Amino acid sequence: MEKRIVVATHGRFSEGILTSMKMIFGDQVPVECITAYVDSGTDYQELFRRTVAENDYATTELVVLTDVLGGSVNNEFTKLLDEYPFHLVCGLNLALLLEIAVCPADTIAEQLPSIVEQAREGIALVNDHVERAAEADANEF
Amino acid sequence: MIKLFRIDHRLLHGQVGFSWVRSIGADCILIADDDSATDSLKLATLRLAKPQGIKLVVKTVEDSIKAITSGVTDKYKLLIVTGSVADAKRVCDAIPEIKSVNLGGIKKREGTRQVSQAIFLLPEEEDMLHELAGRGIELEIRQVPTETKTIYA
Repeated sequence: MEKRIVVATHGRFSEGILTSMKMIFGDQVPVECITAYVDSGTDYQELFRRTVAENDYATTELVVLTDVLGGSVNNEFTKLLDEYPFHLVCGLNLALLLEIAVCPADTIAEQLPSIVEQAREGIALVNDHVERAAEADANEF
Repeated sequence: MIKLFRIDHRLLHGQVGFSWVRSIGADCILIADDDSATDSLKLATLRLAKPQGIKLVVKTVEDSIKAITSGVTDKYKLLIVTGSVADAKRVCDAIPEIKSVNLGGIKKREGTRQVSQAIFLLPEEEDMLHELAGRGIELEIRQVPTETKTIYA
């Protein structure tokens, strides 16, 4: 099995987060990005459809990451879930993208629920965390 | 066993906690840094950056050397990070097992020479590194594991 990752966002968020990913992780996992609604002449609905339609699902797991639940990028991809067996994850952030990038293609379908749950834990009010973190676990071997 | 010994002024951050840990299959990170071991906010910050499922130990350089030589770290696949060339040299002097040092990030300061995108060295640091290289220790410059190794000196 292969894995294909598409990051689709309002504007250039997707391009930007790829530069962040490369800084941490290097250039080893290809990620496609869609900067939606940047060009007024492009039919983005059609572009989204083509993106999921062109995937060969027999050989390739497709994961689409969008920026925000309830936003139009995510809404449009949601409408395509009936027709194509791709994975759609919203709430793009760097931890989420990195975990999906390193997950082996063969197990991505099965691991996506826990990857999403784990990424949720990465959203935190740090002020409250920092004191607890200091005493969290033993600083010994 | 020691899987990677790295110098990085940022100590534990994304490149280390995410990319290096996975690349070398580490199960334990030792931060050998006097400031971090003695400053509670610095320690808490490091704890927050701890990757899930990985053990993190923060000790002074001296206590780190003691721990490694005592054998308590032998059972771990260990990633050691120090924040400076001087600290790394102390560890290398005490632990001859270390045959390779990864130069990950050393920040620009007054009087430093830029050696690579992320490595800036003072003349006395270059002397220390040359001494290590003279002992046959590999000094390789890489921020992330996917980069090609550049050998210093």
